[in-house]
Amino acid sequence: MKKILFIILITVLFFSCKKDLSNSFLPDPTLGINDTVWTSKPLTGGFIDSISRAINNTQLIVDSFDVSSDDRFKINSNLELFFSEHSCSLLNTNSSISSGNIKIELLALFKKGDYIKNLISTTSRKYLLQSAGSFFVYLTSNGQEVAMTANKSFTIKWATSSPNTSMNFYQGFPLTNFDSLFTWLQTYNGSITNWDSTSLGSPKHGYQISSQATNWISCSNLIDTSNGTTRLNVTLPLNYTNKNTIVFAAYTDKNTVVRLTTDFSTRSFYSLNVPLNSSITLISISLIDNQFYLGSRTVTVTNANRFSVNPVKSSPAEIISLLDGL
Amino acid sequence: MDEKVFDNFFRSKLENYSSPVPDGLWKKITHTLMDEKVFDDFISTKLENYASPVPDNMWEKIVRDKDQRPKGFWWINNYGFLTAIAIIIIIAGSLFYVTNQKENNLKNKISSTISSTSNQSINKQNKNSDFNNNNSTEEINNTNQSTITNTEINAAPTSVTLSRKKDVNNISSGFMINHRNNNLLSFLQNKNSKKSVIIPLMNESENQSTQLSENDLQNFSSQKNVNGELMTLNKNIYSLNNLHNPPLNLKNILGLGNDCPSANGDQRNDWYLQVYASPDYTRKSLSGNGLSNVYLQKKDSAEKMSGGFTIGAKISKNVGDHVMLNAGIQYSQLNEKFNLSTVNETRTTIVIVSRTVVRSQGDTTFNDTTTVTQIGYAVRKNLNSYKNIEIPIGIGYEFGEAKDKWKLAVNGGIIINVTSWYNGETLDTSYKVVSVDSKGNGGFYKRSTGLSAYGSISLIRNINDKLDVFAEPYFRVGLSPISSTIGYSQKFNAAGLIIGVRMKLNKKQHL
Repeated sequence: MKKILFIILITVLFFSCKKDLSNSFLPDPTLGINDTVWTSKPLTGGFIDSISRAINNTQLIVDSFDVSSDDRFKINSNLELFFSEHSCSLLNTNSSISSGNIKIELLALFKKGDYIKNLISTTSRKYLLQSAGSFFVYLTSNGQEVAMTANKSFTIKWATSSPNTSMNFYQGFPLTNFDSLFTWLQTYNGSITNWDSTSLGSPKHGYQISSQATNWISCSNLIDTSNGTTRLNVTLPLNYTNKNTIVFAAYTDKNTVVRLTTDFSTRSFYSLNVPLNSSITLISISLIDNQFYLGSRTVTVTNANRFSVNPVKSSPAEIISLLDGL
Repeated sequence: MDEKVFDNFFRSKLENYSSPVPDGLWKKITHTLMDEKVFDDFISTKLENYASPVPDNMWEKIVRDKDQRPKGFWWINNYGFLTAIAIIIIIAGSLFYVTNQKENNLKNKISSTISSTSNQSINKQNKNSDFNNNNSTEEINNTNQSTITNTEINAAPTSVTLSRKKDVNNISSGFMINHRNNNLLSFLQNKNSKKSVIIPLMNESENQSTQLSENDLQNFSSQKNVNGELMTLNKNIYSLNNLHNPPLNLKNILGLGNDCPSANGDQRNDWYLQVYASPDYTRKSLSGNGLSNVYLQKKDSAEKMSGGFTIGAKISKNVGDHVMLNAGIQYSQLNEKFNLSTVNETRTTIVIVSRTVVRSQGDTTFNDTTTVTQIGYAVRKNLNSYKNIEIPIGIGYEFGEAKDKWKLAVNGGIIINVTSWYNGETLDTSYKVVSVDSKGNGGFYKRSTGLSAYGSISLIRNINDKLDVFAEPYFRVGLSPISSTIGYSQKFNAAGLIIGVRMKLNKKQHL
């Protein structure tokens, strides 16, 4: 009996030493990273503003001119503006301003990265545009917004290496849906002309917009889709939802940038009418719990197959650097 | 009963006695029967061959009395290396003290033997027992109880005295160790070969005197004291017991130098195999070696010792009657709970989700392998284990006799860590959880060998001639730290209760 008890004691000692292994994890419900739920509602303006403020380093040019005389602004060697005398009038009136200074604020977008920094696509509704340049012109007099007087125009002239002769004038129209911000629409409030000059033996080429409209104007045209189009589908890890992420597609061979639309039903981002065999750089920008995440991937779109992008933590500077290199 | 008592007895009986006196009786008595010399001769004849019997357990009493002296005392603070040192010193001191006391007591007993011999010599005339018959033990005992009125301590010298006058066969019967007569005899004879301890009677009988050599008799002298009693003095007793061993004889300290033979006959020569196991309470001390206190506190709060166990086997051998040397091999395992709670812990999990791709020719659903990252509170639990193969080497001192049912022993020694290996996790200086899995000298910890000191107190219960069980509260103190590759080092201490069995390996049995 004693031997049995002894053996039992030893056995209990051995088996009492079973490993106590456990790793418990409790996600913090207050953190956005743990929220993997998509929303069927549009993005909030606060989210868009936060991203734009962080990564938008494009310079807003601010100057003024005398409304009673012709004025030409030479922003740099490749960009200049021209306002003829008495060409401005208060908004929603047709009476021209006869004297005084007009404050002008100009934002010029030429590169794909600039569009992304301003969260603007080169799309006209669901169709892709390629843009030679887009501008935001904002005129004020004594704090009041002013517009161009009827039949009066201002011009923006800029140089480019190989201007396209088929460019059209587009105006940007803000949308209430923050998923799209606004869209470009071709109007007849302006025109595009190409110019050539030889100055000091150095030939220059470029475009000139003559516009009767202020705010967003663009020199663009629809891209060629004669070889067929497809749908571009992009997915991200589950943490990146339409509440905290925006995805852009930047075409490598075109000055075209498109912000992908969110698809709640498939938890994906997509773009329509993508030309087949397009080479695209997919860029995702996420802001989660005040932390930026950047995803980048270059793909060739041949069909509607899904592309996945894996964001990583990034700083705004890293995002800007990537966008400047597009 | 002395002479005065005897006279009083007869006086009380005969004081008022009266009987008709025949004619001429008084004259006859006066001249024949009531002669004083005749009466003395009568008493002398009856008692001259009387020897007080030796009780059965007389020698055991002597041995017990010899060992019933202070064993020393100790105080154990089972914490720290100093305690281990103190126990070793106390053990050594106790042994030294016990050994010296043993010598002193032996001297005292021999002195009392000599004095009581003279005081009780007259009592020998009261009885006439047959000491040549070894089978008359019980009768002798009864007689002894009725005649000897002194204290027990006086009885012991009496038996010694009477034994001395017997031949070698009667000596063995006096010790009541019949089946070991030869061993005991040879032991005594060895003593006698140098200096005789056999004391002849003051009035030797024919048989007794013929069995003593002339040399033996020359060592003794007889003289009358002031009361006219004979005193027997053996000068060799003093020379033998007072001068035989120096006070600091190492053999005596180790129990090798017994002046008297063991109660079990010759020296104890036992080999034991001990098999034991112990649940252990363990503690760890952490040294930072320059690491930040924040890190050390974080690590310390994440790790908590959760006991352990030891199993092993030892071979032990007695050195003398009480000292035991032992060595063996054992496996010890120290367990540690690793419990780390962290905030802002990031966990990325691979998941498979079902997705739908919208195509112009129709939607397609497929399984997508993707990830989900979560940030939150993490509680990481693990059971670390420090496993050791060790060689314990120790020395112990057993109180009591080998045949006692219960014995107490104190032990001390060192534990040599032969090899170690580790399993589990810990926190590195970047507050990341890292594995400490290793074997031998590789891995997170640098040391696989080391040294510990231990001390213990054993309570031993004899089951039968071959088997003992014991319970042994013990503690051990780590002397060698285990150093980690990131800078800190840690020592382990333990306390536990060893439960085991002790099996006697040799065939010789103790009574």
